[in-house]
Formats: sequence, structure tokens, C-alpha cells
Amino acid sequence: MPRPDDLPDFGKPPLNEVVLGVQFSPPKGYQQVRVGDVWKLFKADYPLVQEHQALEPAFETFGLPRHAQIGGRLSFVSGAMHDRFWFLRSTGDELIQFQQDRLLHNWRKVGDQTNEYPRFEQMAARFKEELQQLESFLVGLSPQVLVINQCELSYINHIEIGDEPVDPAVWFRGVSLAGVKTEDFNIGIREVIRDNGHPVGRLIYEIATGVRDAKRVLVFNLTARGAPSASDIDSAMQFVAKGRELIVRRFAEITTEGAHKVWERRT
Amino acid sequence: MPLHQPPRDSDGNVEPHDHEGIQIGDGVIRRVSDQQVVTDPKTGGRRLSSMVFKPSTGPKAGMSVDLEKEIEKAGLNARAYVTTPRWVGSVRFEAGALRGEAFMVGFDPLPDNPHHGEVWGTFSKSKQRRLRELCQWFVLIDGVSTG
Amino acid sequence: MNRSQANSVFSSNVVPIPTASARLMVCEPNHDWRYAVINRLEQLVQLDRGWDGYNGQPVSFENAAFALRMLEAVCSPDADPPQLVPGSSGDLQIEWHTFKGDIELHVLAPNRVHAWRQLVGGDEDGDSLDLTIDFGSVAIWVRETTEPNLAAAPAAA
Repeated sequence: MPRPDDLPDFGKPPLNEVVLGVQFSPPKGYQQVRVGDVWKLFKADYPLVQEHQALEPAFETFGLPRHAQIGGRLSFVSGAMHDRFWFLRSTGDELIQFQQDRLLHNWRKVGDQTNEYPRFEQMAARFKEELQQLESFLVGLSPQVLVINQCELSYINHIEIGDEPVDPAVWFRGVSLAGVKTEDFNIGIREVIRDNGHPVGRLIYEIATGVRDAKRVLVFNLTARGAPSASDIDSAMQFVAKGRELIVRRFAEITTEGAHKVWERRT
Repeated sequence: MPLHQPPRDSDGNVEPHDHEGIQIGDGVIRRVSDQQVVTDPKTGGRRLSSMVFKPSTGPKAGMSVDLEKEIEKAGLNARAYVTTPRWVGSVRFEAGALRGEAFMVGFDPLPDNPHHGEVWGTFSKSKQRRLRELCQWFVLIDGVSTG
Repeated sequence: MNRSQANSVFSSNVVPIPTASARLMVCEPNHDWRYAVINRLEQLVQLDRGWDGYNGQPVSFENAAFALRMLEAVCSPDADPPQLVPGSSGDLQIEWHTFKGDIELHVLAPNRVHAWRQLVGGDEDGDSLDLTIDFGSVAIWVRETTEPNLAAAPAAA
């Protein structure tokens, strides 16, 4: 999947983490006791494992304008819950997250933060292969295909801002606080993603101050989440690719010229 | 004489069929649960949800039923047989009436229910309405109308 | 920071600076219908296998979760709570029945909903839609079918 020629590109973007993910219907014949077999699919490159609490199902739906579902949690439970497993590279910079209804692939900066982002095309190709491997494994349990009902892509940026109060307008267009320099702030925005006028997902912007390794940062997340046009792997990858294009364009559109200089914008 | 075995696919699943051994006057019983009861002011209170008159989802899925004659041939009381668990009610159709609405009435014996059958067809809204009109209580759920 | 939408694995390494925006931490909209629906969904996902006398399965967790998100897109804060009826294959149907008419939303799977509405005095077969994630039409149906009549009270004699 080639990179669009006119997509903004940066030499030193503040990118800290990228997550590609899909949610699917729990496969027939699968139980948590088989997670070791799933790990075996990826173990050669991801030899380390951790267990975490499962992610709840996430669905973007549309109708009435309403409260943002930022952090909306489901309040009901149903029996045994499958854990979320992280399968990690020994370097720790890439990992696969797996639970009975999710597969995600994360890349992140680690250590001295100099590890290079492998670029979306490479990550997407790996993720597609991982999905295909998972689907082949599940076919062995029961005749089936992955039924993907939600896709997501997140770009998480850390903008170092030093110890002085920060004027958001330095980094973001249209966030003028009349020059007020803030100690901290927190912004959440949602935008509907449309295809031929019909809603297919949301682009979610989150900007907040934080501290990482004793340094103040602006954490700037952009997440594209929604339903693919069909439930197969190719349709999911198309949604993720479209999400990437939207995220990168929006990142360039809403950040300032001054920020682009810092990040060495090329196109 | 028990019904002959139904046609099956290569995985052993019963294929939708209309079983010639099920006669037009034979009773076809559909169990209903109080989970399938709704309140509707237009009918004066509680009635059956349309979900009672819908098939399961999935390919080849039909509407599960019990075949009254098969139960009786086995020497069992049909009302007692279909009232399992004890709180389940049921409605009854005649096979001929179902076929008159272009449904197929077939035999689908199961390990835990050898008198199980299926009704296959197009369960459009108008057909669901017809099923509601055709059925009669077999084991009544108190205070609930069929619709 | 408000709870991130992203499935970041690094977020624990960033300590959010507390802000005064505690209201952005709202986790659940506070709607009356929501309380009734969640209680009912709790029951439905815990139904015994064979609850219908046949091989009926409990409502699947993913269908229950999707149904809740659908209702959040369809129901205003003061909407009448719907009635929820399980299907036999892990599916469920969401129903409203009023003097004005009936609405049934059959959640077959996430992103697969068969919506039907009939108004009293209208076409006997009603209106049907097969929907995925956009429930704008259904939101209008719910408002039209469940809103009380606001006819002027008769003048005092």
C-alpha cells in the first residue's frame, strides 16, 4: 500500500507511539486456554509475554447529538473474562495485544527514545499478516473467518514543552487563549468521519499536559475509530489506511507553522 | 411408525425440508418463555414479542418446535413434555396451516429432544403476523395474550 | 488527562497533570432509561443455556455492548426505557410499544440491526431498515412514537 505523494511528512515528528487495531466477534471454538497457541504464531519475533486487564468492546454509533463517550464504561459483566495478553519483542519497542475479540499492534519509542518509527506502510503490512495468521489458526478450530466489526488507528505524540507555562497557540492553530500561558490544560474533540456523506467512524483528538521522565510534555493523541465497510481483513486494512491519511493531514492542519519547523516538515 | 430421518449436509446438519411424514392436522408446538413477553398498551397488557415468531439466526436456521404426534407416539403427554423447564409456556399450530403460509415443517431430532422439529421459510413481518394469528395457547402463560 | 481513547501501552509512563476538568471524566451519561437497560442486559447475558426450552443461548456480551451504544445514539435523556427480548442465538430485540405505534430493533450482531416501525393507522407492514452504525432515522422514530401527545387541555367549563 503506497504512501500518498501529497501526504504531509516530517523529519522529526513528535510521534511516540502508534497503535493499529481491530475488534472482531469472539471466534467459534476459541477459549482462553488456547492463548498459548495464539502466542506461538508470533513467538519467534515476540518472545516475551505480559497479562493485562481486558479492553471493553468499543463501538462508534451515530444518531442523536449526545454526550461524548470519553471513557464510557460498560457496567454489566458476563461470566469469565478473557485477559488481554501482550506479546513483546525483546527490545520492547513493538508488541501485539491479543484478547478474544481484539488484535492490536503497537510501536513505541523506548529507552533513549531514538528508535526510528518503521513507517505506517511497514506496520500495516505486518499487522495484516498477523491478522491472516490469526485467522488461519482460528479456521483450524472451526470453519470461520474473522468477523471484524471495528477498526482503530492511534498516533500518540509527545511534544516537549519545558518547564515554563505553555501557550497552546504556539503548537495548535485556532486555540487562542489571548496569549494566556497555561500551567496545564486538557482538550477533547471528536469529529465524524464520513464516506459518501454517511458516518463511518470518528476522529478523536485529545491534548493534555503531562510529565514523562521528569519532563513536561503535551500528549497529543489522534485516534480514528469506526466500522469497516465489510467485515473481512482487507476492508479493515482499508479503514486503517484511510484513518492514517486523515490523522496525518489533520495533524498538519491543526498544528502551527512554528511547530512544523521544529518537526522539520518536508512536504 | 417413527418419522424417517431428515436429509443432512456433509457436516451432519439437517437441511431445511418439508417432511412428508408430518400430516396437515399434526400439532406443531412452539415453546415460549416469559423472557419473550412484552407490555403493549394497545393489546390491554402483556403479550408475546414478535421474537417468538422469528427463526434463530444463521444459515439454515429455522424456528424450533416440538412435534406433538411424535411426542404422543413415544407414549408421553405433550403438555408435560413441552413444559420443561417448568415455567415455559407454549403455543400450537397445525402443520397444514403453516404450510398454507409457505412454511416448511421438518423433523430435526436432537440428542436431548428427539421430537424436535423446525419451521423454515420467510419470516417477513406479514408472516410473523400470520403466525401470531394462527397460533393458539397450548400451555398458557397467565395474563399473556398471543397478540 | 481524560481517559485516553487510544489503546496506548505507554500511557502509564506519562503522569497526567491534574486539571480542573473533572467533568470530562464522566464515564456514563446519567439517563434514566440507561439504568433500566443495563439491569435488563445484565439479566440477558446471564440467561441459562436452553432458557427458551430449546437450545437458546444467552445474549452475547458483544451484542449487549453494541445494543447499549446504539441506544445511546437513539434515546434522548428522558426517553422511555425500551423492552429487551432475547433471541435464541445470542441476539436480542429492543422494543417500544405505545398507543402511537411499535418499534422493534433486532440486533443480530454488531453493525447488523434490522429496524422496524409501525404507526397505528399506518401501513400494516410498517417501515423496515437494515442498519449498521447510523441510527439517525431510528432516533426520529423513537421520538415520534414515544413522545406523549401534547394536545391542548380542554378549556374549563
